[in-house]
Amino acid sequence: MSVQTVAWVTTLFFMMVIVMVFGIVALKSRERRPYEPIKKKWYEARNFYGTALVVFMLAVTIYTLRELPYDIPVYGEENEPTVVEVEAIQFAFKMSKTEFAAGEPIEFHVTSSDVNHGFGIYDENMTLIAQTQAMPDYTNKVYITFDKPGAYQVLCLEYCGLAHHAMVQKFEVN
Amino acid sequence: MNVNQVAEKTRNNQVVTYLAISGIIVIAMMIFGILMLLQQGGVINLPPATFYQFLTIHGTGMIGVAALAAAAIMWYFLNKYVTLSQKILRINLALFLIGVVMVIIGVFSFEYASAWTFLYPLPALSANAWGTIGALLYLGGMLVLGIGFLLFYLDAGRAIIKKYGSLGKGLGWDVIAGKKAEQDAPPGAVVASTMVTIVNTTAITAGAVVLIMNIINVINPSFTFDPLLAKNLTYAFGHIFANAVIYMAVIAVYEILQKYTDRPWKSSKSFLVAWTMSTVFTLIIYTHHLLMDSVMPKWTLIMAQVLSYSNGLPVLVVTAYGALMIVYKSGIKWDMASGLTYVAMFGWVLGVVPAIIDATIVVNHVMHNTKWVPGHFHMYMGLGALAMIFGFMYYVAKVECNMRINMLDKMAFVIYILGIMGVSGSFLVSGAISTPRRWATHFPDWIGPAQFGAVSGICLVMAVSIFVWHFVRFLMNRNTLNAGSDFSKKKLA
Amino acid sequence: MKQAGIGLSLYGLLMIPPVVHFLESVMLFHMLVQLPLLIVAGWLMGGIFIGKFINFFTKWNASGIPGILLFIIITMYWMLPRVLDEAVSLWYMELFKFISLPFLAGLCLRDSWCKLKIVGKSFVYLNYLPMFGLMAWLYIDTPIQICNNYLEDQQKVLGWGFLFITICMIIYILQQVFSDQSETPNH
Repeated sequence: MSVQTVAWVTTLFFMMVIVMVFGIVALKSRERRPYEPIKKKWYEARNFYGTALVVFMLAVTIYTLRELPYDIPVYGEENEPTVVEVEAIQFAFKMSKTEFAAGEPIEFHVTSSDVNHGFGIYDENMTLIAQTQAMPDYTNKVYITFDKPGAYQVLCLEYCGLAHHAMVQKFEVN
Repeated sequence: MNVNQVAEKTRNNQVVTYLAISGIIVIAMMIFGILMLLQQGGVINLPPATFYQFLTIHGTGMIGVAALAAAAIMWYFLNKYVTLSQKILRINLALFLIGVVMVIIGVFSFEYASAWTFLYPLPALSANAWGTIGALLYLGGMLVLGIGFLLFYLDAGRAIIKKYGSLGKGLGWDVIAGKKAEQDAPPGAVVASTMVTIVNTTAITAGAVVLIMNIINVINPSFTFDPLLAKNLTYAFGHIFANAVIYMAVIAVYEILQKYTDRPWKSSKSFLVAWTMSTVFTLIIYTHHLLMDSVMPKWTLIMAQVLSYSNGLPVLVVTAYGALMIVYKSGIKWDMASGLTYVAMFGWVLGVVPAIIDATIVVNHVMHNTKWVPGHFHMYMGLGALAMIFGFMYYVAKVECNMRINMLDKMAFVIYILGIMGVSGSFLVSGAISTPRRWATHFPDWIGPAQFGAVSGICLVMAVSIFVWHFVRFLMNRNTLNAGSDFSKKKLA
Repeated sequence: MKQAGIGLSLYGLLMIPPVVHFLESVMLFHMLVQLPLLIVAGWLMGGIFIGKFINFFTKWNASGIPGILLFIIITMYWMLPRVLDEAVSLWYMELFKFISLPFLAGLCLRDSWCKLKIVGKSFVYLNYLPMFGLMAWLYIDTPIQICNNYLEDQQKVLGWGFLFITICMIIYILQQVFSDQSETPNH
């Protein structure tokens, strides 16, 4: 399952919960009851809800921070990564290599010679699988190993001028 | 009308003017938004230059106008507790309009299209799409706008310090520390205004640096700057300023729901702690815009995720929870004002979900700068902040002229909710299928959601037009009521 | 009149050729010592002038805004790197510096500052804050030598000087807005 699907399902789930909560409160808004007892009950409930929320967020934070895209992968002895120099210019990507083998560890060293660009790698199904920013004066890195062979594309993901949407570069994984 | 009422009414003249101008600009900006979605959906065929000009004007204009209307809300309620300057309110509006005119001329006459982010060095390096004059008009216009808002917040800060002693006390720190009783805590309107004063003064200062820096670079490209620092400052400015809109507008929720439910919404200790947390987090979480800049120190990016999660807590545990609690079994009388403010809280919380998800680094890695991002903030600004603003407009119309609501307004209410949910939802779907943000043309796979968004947008703009029409009718009533009194000469917008 | 005396002697002191030479030999001293001291001298001497031409000042600078605008324009002008360079090389720029800073900037500042309301003062303050920050950034970050008379290292030192001032200004404003202003008699 792709990260996007997980994000989408999680979002939908929590949105449904919120719709329900606001809906129930709205439905129950017409009858009038004294405020003090309600307050007391709700504050008690909040202690529980607040704690649960903090614990949940903490768990998610720890879980999602275990592996970050910034971490340099551990390469085996005879498995040195292929370094690809990428230079973004208005409105194209110059890549030092555009053919790769499946399973080959790759490091994209991404920079720009004019303005800010984005470097987004799309697989054959047009799903975004990795990205970084292409900035002048700096080199951002993407560590990636393509498992599946196919035709991949790089799309510009930072607005860079009038031909921003035409900044596409294809490459092959065999 | 007695003397007090008349005085109250003249005081509100400007607030009403702010709102009327905002309402009209919002409609115009929505139309640009719809045109962009139609273009992305392949329904119409705009040249890319036009599309990106619309993009620039839509982003800049929406945030600017939302901030303007929210400032009116803040002024209206804050002025009940402290004495604010009317003159500065007027100057802010004048500078706003001058700034807007400069931006419009820069964008449409000189074809300037850097998007609102004006990421250095794009204003100077446009691949010959626009020239120096356009860039200077846009950047200068933003600067003028900033000056107006800076004056506005300085005046608010002055008034709060005068009444409460310091900005810390405006946030109720003495109550948190136990030096002052909870019942003497500053009201929500003051706490929120203090928070916004602090964060927006900072934002505007950061913005001024990066704007003038860009201006220098546009005039003389041999002066170069560090693009990463420029990016940090740009997002510090943009994120805080946009975020602060909802913190100003939420004052309307506090005040309106208190009145409609006849229940007090007091500043408790947890309330004050939540607002102090929001102040701090809002100032520093902008780095979640730079999660895809791996050259940033790693700890700042991890902090960005942690703090973005934490920033959800004050809203989810205190503000929204408080809104739900005050409405629950309250016998509230539902009308447009109370309905829209309630929906606004709903929209805010709803918008927090995709925001937090996108602030997760591993998700951001495949979602950053896709349409997921506008998805989240259209929910949060469109269903959150804007609903607060329109709710406040209905509230003012009711309080001042006892304007009645008809079937049309009620229909607009439903269409508005469905419309903005459609727009935001279509963006979120586009994001989930990896559609990049800010693309003038879409690949065939991406077209469907854009078309759906455009249709929703058209419904939305109709609903909003009805809201604004109601407000215009109120303005006409207001003028007739005023006729004959000495104040009839004071023209409204 | 004691103040004016001090101002005059400071002005005199700043005009002594070895002092001029020393201060102008280092970019940091030139920009952040000599120029501000000239303004201070003007401020101190200003009392007499303002007293003499009180009608003129009340007429043209009633709100304090025209004066402070002039002050801002002049100080901004003197923050341009090229101007600093020219002051060292061209005698008339040097002369202009010794006239404009004390007698226009310093004088206007004195007359305007007390006339400005609190919002106006904070506004001016908050304009200099980002301006100094930007200057710091410009001088530290610029990879080229901007002035003929000063080396790149000197530029960087000046940048750090500006950064230091900016940080001090931020600390000052923070303590100002977060310390209690309601019990003013105690402070």
